[in-house]
Amino acid sequence: MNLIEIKNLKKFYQDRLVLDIKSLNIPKGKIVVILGKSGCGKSTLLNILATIDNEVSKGSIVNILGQNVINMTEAQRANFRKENIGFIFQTHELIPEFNVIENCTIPLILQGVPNSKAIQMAKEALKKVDICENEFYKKPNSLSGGQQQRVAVVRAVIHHPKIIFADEPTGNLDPQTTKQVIELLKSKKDKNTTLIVVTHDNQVKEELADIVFKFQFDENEKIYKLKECK
Amino acid sequence: MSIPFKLFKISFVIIFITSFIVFFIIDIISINITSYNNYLKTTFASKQHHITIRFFKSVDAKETAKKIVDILKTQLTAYNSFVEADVDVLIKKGLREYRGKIKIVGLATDHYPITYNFNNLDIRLLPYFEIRPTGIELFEMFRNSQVEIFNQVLQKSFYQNLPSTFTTYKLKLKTNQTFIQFGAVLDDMKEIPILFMNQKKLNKLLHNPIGYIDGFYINIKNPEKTQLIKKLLQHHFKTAQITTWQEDNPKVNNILIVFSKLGRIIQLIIGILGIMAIVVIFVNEMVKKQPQLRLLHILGMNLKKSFHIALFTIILFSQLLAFLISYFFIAKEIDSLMIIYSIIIPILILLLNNYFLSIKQNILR
Repeated sequence: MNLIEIKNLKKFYQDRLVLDIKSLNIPKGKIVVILGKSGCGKSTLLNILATIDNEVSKGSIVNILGQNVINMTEAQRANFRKENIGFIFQTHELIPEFNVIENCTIPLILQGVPNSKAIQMAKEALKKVDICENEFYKKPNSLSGGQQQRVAVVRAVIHHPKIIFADEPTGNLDPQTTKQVIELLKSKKDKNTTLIVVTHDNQVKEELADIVFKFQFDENEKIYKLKECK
Repeated sequence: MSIPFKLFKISFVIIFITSFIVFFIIDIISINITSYNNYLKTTFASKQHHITIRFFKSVDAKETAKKIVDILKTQLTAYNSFVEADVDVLIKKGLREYRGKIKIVGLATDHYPITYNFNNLDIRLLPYFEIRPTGIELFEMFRNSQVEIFNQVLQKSFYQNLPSTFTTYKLKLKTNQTFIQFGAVLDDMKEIPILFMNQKKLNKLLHNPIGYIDGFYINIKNPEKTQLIKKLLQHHFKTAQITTWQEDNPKVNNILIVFSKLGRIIQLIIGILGIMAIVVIFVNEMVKKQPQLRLLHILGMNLKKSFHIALFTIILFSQLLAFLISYFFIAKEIDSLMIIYSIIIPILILLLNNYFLSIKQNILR
């Protein structure tokens, strides 16, 4: 069964067609890597799949977990993200006012998990990614880039989402930390979680990908088209 | 809920304090307006008859009085019939004289108390025997036509420096001439000069038939219910003209209304400024924390709902605190309007914030 099904997805930006996908299916429990140059539409696709953006052409269908997310209201999409999606960003995107634990517990708090239970879960998850206890109550700015990214990964997976979107998760990291993050993502792979990674990092592709899609420029239609790489 | 509070800790404290100050000031103004209005109303109610019934044709005084007592029952505290006349007079004492239009009111004195409280007269002049008369003594003298009473307007326009004893004046009407004894001054809060005298004496002076009356003055237990009582009396006395003390004193009543409206305008201005301050603080913080909000939005937080609940809670609690402090420590006369404010203002702020949040969510996309 496919987790994500896309049909006739078109996105215009100021009358310019920026995304055109006739059909795309992503199965459950796989690690999918989407490659492409900057400006090819990777982030646009990610925003649509992540239900952040639903302003697409009429007739576009994006079914995720059996629901057409394009027709959802703002509140429904927020609820859908809260329940089903985890995010890992290139620049960690941790909230500077919150400490490490508070950052990790956000998805749980949003789901209504009691604070004490959420803190307990965050502590356990942080220990698994080698964040020491004395770092738990520090603000993100006082952590290294690698530590921040590991905290971000914990935040993305702590509520056991069905889909994890990772936008250039190793983009800002040194080789050593990149390796750590790849290992961490590998460890999160299970039959119930689908990981969709947008990257231009070949190491990520080589070590993680079950399925690879690539945006390639179509000279005839003068637009980047998404194609599966065998 | 805890996430917006954590993220906007300081701003929410500032909003709470701002909201508290705004509503505390509004509460204080409200208390002052209410207290002052109540003071004026009480003063009025204690110095004037609350309801006046005027008949256009001759009525039987005893029968009508009985009917009034029957209709008002326990609501009634005092009543008396009156005769009134607007007359040109010449009041003369030695070289001093007053010439002009005055109202002469003849009060029935067949029972006590009447609608004017004789214990409450502002100035009581010393009688010959130099003992200050009590209210009942003065009433007895009034009943026996031994003294007449001036109201303050008449006293001021005629005789500024009060004599130390009862003084006799010559009162000349167009068709008649009599002597009056000035016994006390009544502050009735009326704007026209009035001379009060025994009804029988006035009827005689005006050549009215014996037992003639123009109407009744009525005092009721709760002066706030004048309109209700007026309607009740109108139902029973269809041909009579029935007025309340507010209607009989339009100038003072208008001042009361203007004062009250002014207070409301001040409250409104403070309220609007407060709302603006709160919205500006909030929107400013939203702009500052845009990246954090964007992230929370992506993670699935319903910004509108969360911030609405947070703001509503803060503003409601700040108002409640302001209300309680005003109520328990300053005055227990808080206006019922404050209850309405407490609900309307947070909703208004929420609607404004809703507008700004809608704009913000479009930016976040």
